[in-house]
Amino acid sequence: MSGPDVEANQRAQAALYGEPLGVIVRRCADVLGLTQARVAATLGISAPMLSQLANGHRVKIGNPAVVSRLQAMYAAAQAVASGETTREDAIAGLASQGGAAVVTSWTKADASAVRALFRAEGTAAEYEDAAALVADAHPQIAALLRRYGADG
Amino acid sequence: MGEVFAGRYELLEPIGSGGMGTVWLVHDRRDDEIRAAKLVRQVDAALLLRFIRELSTRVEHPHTVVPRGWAGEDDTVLFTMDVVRGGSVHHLLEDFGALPPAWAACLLDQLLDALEAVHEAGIVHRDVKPANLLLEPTGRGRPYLRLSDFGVAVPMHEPRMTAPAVVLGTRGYRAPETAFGVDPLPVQDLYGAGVVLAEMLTGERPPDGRALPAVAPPGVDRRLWDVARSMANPDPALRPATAAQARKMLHETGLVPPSTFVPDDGGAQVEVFEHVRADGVGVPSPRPTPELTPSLRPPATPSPVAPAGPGTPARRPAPLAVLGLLSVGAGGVVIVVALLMLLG
Repeated sequence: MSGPDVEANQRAQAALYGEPLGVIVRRCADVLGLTQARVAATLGISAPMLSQLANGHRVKIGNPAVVSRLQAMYAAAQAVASGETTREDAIAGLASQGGAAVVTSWTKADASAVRALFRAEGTAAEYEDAAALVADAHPQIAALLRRYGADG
Repeated sequence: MGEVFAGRYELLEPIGSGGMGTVWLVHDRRDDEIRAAKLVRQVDAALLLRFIRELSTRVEHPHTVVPRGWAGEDDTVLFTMDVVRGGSVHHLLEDFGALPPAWAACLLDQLLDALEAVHEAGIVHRDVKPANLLLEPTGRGRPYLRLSDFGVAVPMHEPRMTAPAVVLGTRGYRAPETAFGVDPLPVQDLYGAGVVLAEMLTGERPPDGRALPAVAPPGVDRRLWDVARSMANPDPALRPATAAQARKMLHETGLVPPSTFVPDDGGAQVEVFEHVRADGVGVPSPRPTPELTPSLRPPATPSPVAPAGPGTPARRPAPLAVLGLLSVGAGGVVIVVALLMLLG
């Protein structure tokens, strides 16, 4: 993987991006005070991919969206270096461009409110009784009664 | 030394955050193994444990990562899984943008294979998305996908273990009908898989809840686009009814590379990197680690039926199986949001 290809790759990067990516990434990280991991996260690229690019083990950035984010980061680093803006503002500006949140959401009805409603109408023992009565014919309803009425 | 959960699992370091909980790298002191473990705070810990137990006995498929062990302490449940070290399809999309058609077809084929088994076991996954499609670190070889994070999966046709009126899943990948509290059904997973396919083909997640355009975007393979469009149809009745049917459609495109073939990447140099090192992180390796290679290592204890070749990681991939990093993409903000949701 490493070896003679690295220099050729870095020359190819310089032709594509102006400078070898290792130089660009290092400058951004230094000026903005970011670790390599933070740079990767801000660019929306995996850490191993960033290190392959920065080491010259791989020439091209595959995802075009990452190229434009790298351009934005480089511009931000230049703005900080020339005193036009502060590190904090520059980083905040970059972070706000981050990808959409793709997080599992868990929207839950307020169980305590439902329990309160059940309990207003009967005691835990009564719900347990009721659950036992319907358990054979309607196990799901029995489970509901136990869940919200009995074991609170 | 890290905190020890239930007297057995030493928490080494967090490696991600997924549906319902944080994923840690842990040292299982009893078996002296490094595993991935998800910690879930859960009022209904007992019910969750029952479900995990069922899941691990009902789903045994080489393209899944199901919980293997579990432990409870107070209101927190920990369950352990194999560690899958090659990141996820989310990382692949971040690093390469749109994937070559043969790669997309190969990955979807494996996902549908897994979903077929999951659905056959009477379970709906409910959170099919790129970050939950973990990858073995196969380098430039044939990719190997494992469907993970059954954290919000539910059994079909059984009393619900979750509270009523729960809307689960991830915006953008969740079937539109689930917003109205319908029963969990396999076609909802197929919707998510269809969205994933569209994203693999274009490099971008399609807009929420609308039908995919009839005409494939420029540069996108029309045959695969039609498969994505059918699977991600907003009307569940118009989707393929089963994972097997969807898989048949996919194979009719002629783009699924034969098993053991490396999919053609058309010069894009697609590569599945090693995201989690095999020797654990910040801990002495409990056993000598074989030399790292970008390709898949054979299982530590090969199962007698495991075929040779890329199919081998099947049930117990490596002594230091690793769960891929989740949700690294948008960085800390997302993780914080996730934690707030979990605690909220």
